Amino acid sequence: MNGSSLAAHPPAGNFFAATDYIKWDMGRGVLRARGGARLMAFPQEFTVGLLAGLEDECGEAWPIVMYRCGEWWGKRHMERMEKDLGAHYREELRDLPTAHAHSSLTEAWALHGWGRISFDMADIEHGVMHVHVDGSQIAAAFMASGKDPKGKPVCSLLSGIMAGLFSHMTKAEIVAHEVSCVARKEDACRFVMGQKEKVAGVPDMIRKRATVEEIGQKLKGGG
Amino acid sequence: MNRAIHDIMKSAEGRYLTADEGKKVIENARQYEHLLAIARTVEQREGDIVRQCIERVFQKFPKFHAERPNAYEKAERDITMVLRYAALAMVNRDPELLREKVLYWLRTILMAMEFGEVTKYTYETLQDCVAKALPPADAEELNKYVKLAVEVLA
Repeated sequence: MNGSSLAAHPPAGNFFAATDYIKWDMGRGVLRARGGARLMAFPQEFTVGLLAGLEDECGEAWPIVMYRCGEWWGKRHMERMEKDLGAHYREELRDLPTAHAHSSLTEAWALHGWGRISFDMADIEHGVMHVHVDGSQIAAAFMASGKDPKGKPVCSLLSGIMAGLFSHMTKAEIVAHEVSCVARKEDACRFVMGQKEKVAGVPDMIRKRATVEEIGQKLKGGG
Repeated sequence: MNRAIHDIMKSAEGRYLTADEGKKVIENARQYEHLLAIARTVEQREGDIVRQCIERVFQKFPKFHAERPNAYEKAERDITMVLRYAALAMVNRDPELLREKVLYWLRTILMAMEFGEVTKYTYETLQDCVAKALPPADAEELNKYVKLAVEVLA
């Protein structure tokens, strides 16, 4: 790129800057995202009610339902992001440097109120990505509801979204598992993500209350 | 909207602006002409500012340049972006515009790339190049915002 191409294609900043991203049409009561998709904001009580309703209807299977919803949504969200970010940066999302794509995902996640997500690629050569979420809205709602997590991580909706986003991006079947959760009094919500076969043993390790480090070691082939 | 004007309007809900607030709005609005003139000068000297900045960074970190493909083009893109958004933020007197539209997002990218001290040196050098390219008072205005890049990115 040189001066003339900079003039033709000015470098674009953060697509998800809050001041530009959400458009309010107060007359019609409609919120739209920058690319035109309709949005809806909901308070924490909604999530508390959703969790309570799902548990009533589905019993122990409620996390699976949440995961599937997240996965479906994550895939569609990534489709839209590919279109919107492709237009904004004049480059396909999959062609952007990984750090650039992750930064856009981080900002999108924060802007929608899901907390601050960060990605750790240290074990990517072992086929595993570690993900950290601060301020999970789901964990906060769960704790506000006064429910007992029964020793299980509760942010299955977030696991599903991550799986959906990365499955769409990589064209592979990516699965995410939450391995620590603030709802069970741990310091952060942490996730591991990888191809289905690679992380298949993780739920069993979670049930046995393996630590994040132990799970990480096992996935790297040690332990 | 100019951050100060925005804040005054926001705090005046359900009442008229006080004389002092009205005066501040006018003062802020009057500054636009001057700030736009600075931004115009920055636009005219952008090429020199950015080129000098990159040359100094590459001189200081020769390996960084050699080890990364298209290093010059990428540096030109990023430094130009920060400079342009800094100028926009200056015109609007809105530091949050720069933080939100560029710096927080760029910080995540640069951290992942592990640029470390190169980032700090780059945007400190950009401040210096701005100081050399603009009259002192104008450079001081713009550098209030370029300085944010050092604070957030480094």
